[in-house]
Amino acid sequence: MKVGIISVGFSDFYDKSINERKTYYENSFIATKRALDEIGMNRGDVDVFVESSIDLFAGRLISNMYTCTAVGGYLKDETNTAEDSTLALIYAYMKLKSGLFDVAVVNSSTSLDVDYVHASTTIFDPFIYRPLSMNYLSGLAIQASSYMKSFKIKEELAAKIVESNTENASKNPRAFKKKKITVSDVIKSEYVIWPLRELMIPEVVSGSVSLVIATENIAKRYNDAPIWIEDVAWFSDGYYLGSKRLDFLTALFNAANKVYNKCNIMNPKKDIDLFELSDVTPYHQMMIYEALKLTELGKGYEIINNDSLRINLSGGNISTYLFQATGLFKVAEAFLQMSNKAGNNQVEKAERALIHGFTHVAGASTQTHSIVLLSK
Amino acid sequence: MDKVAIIGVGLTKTGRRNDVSHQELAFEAIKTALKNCELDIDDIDAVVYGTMDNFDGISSPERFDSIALGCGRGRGKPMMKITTGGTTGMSLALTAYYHVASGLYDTVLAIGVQKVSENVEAQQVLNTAVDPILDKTFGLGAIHAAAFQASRYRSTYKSNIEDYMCNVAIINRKNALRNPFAHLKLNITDDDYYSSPYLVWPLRLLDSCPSSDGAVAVIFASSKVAKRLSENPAWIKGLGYISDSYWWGTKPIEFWDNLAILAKRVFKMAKISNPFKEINVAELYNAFTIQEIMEYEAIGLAKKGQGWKLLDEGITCFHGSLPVCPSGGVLSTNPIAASGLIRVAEAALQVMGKAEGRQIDGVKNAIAHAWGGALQFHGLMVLSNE
Amino acid sequence: MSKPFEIPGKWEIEYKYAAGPYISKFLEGLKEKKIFGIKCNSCKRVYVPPRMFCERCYVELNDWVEVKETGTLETFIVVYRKFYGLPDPPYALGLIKLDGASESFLHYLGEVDLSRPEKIPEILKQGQKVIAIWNEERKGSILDIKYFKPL
Repeated sequence: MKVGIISVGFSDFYDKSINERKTYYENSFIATKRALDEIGMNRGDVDVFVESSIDLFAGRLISNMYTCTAVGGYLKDETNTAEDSTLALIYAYMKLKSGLFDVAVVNSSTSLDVDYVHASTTIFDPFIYRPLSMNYLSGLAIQASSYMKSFKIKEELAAKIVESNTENASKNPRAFKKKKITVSDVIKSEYVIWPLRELMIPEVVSGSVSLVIATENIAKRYNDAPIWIEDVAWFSDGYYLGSKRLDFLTALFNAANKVYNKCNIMNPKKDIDLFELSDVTPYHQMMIYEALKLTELGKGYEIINNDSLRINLSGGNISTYLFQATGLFKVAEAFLQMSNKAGNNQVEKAERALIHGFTHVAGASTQTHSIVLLSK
Repeated sequence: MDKVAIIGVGLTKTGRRNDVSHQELAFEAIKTALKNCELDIDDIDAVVYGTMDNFDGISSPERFDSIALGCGRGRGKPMMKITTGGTTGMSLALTAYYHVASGLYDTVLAIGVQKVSENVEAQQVLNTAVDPILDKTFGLGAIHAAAFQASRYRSTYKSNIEDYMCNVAIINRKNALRNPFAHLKLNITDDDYYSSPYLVWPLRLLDSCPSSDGAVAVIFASSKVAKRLSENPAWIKGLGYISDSYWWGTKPIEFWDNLAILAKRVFKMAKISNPFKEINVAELYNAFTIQEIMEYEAIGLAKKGQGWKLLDEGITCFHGSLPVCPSGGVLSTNPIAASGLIRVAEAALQVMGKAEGRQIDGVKNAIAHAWGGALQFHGLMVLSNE
Repeated sequence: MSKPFEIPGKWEIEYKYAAGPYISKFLEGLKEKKIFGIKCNSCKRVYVPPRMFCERCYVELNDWVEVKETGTLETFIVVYRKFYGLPDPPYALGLIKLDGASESFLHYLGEVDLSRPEKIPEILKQGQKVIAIWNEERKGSILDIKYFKPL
């Protein structure tokens, strides 16, 4: 039984400069209402609701107490994953695959009520890492540093990735930051945590993304051309930095292998048309290329954005970083491209897309990498 | 759709567990569950992890605990973190079920871990759940919500409901004496109950659950794996979850109608037409005495406003015709995010005939329940020996 | 093995909660001793506190109404135990359905003798009428209403 995406909806996105902020769950309502209205569906037609919300960042214990009805789940089957929102999509996909349900709403909202880097210090154990003020960003910097050292990567190469992502963002009507950032802008920006410079680090923005997914027959009732979920996979790795390779994303590599084997993908560069990747830093984007076997180990810099290999048409995290809602944003962007509804940045021949989701609340410690493969 | 079964569980000692770290407590539960199924961590395809952030002094503790789940070895593991408040443990069971029922995985481990004693005051943490702009200032926590239920039940249905709450308090603590994994093991009398102080009127100290540390691991399997590994697995016949409004005024307070709606759905799926007759044992989420009585009514074991009658007739005590919480329930042991999964584990042990000193004779069908949020979430599962 | 350590810890994470446009208008109203609710034109319910959407009908709400400062006590509790970090006992909380509203909301009950727990059922009654007692100084907070007093 196939499961397909039939609609997407977004709230407006906000950064800290905008004062008239809505609550994160009001944004959940707006995004979900738009997704349902788009296909003339109402909440009564939906069987299950899955959100992705992380209590620490929402500033409320049990943060889905508020989103559950905002997404339409009043007296319905509803739940919450505290992961990158691709896992909420994957969970909803499993629920439909079980045969017990036909239609699901998947939603994720990011709040700006707290400083993410500061709050993330509480994720680390109070014995070893917290006394060292570890936070998600410092963990990512340790990985970037390790990658640079292992493969002698110059920072200009990372800066080029930022430039290419923001070039894409400038054409994407849904990207939050549309301003192009050049290589020299990146190199001139200050170090925040060496080797990460200010313009290499995405800034969290607030907003919400909703998807509606359905089993085959129902999907076709609401959308003539649903975008099918061809396969999913995800892996998590260990906590201690000394126990694993820091210059290679092993968990993502394992997820990619699983999907490639199952879907008979021999040459991902050729077999997949679009890639939406969670570039939490440009160094990570290079590591993601390598884990996805788009290039050899240490050669991630060779991949540049061109017509034959379309990466982060959305503009990447550097342009729209909704923290745990980022994964759903990327899925939604791929959906719009594949449905020929992307607008300004629409590309030709978008038949199959790979979306990478990344739970990185603990920086380099215990990362969860996920893959959602979509096809027409 | 393929059938899904529980093939083994691992419970830990509960109480104040300052002898182990969070990670070590998770490991203890997993190691026990694997041993009980004669499995190795590498036999586990995927892990579902739950906690109720932030009771433990570590946010998102699945990150720290990941190595206890096998994520740090070999290929790592597909791990999914679920958090839904008091229902978290039940949400884990449901999530693990869908991992298997979807056909994606054959052997899935659900683990709930909580160290409530690592905060100074649980109600202070719970107070961070309620609306921070309107409700937080009133100092509202879980006990306050349950006190509203007791107060309204008392005024609406039964002015001496306190006498029945006393009954529930005593039965559960006595049952816990049979359970080596229980936290509070109290042989209490009516006098003890009535001399116990009011915390939030009309709830007394003995109406309330303790703050416990504890973990539980439960292994779910496809029918193919279950039949190979277990002689008498606990088959999942029905399950479901319901969410309601956060807002206090939107829900009736004296009757848990959201649970009543869910129970109908779940019993339909499980093909149970008369729960009172067909269910042999129930593990209900009784964080406060009044809730057990309200759960009888919502689940359909008693009429609205008459749950207390089951206590008059001794039906729900250990030797009654429908024992409730032979484990001692949440009233005796509450490591919050583990508690819902402990209900599932205890129900599975009853069905498998492995509940030892707390085993009820001749169990065919058992139910497990959990509630969470602002009296707004419920999860329910029916387990059966066939 | 040595005795396991306990490491003391304390979090001080600051949040700036977005109240959103609906609760903001409600709090603005309290400053002027006005209690705003919002009406769902689909199911006709009036919600206090107001909200962006009707959870049942799943439509956006825009029809603002003012409700009365008097209402009915739906249920009540009395906090007797000091919980660390929470308000000092004893104090009473009620779920109050304001006249003109369809559902109750949470607030303090004041001017009630709480000294003897066993007397509570005689002092407070389900269905009792209550009235808001306002703070002299109001700054756009739920505590601009000091408490509700039984009539």
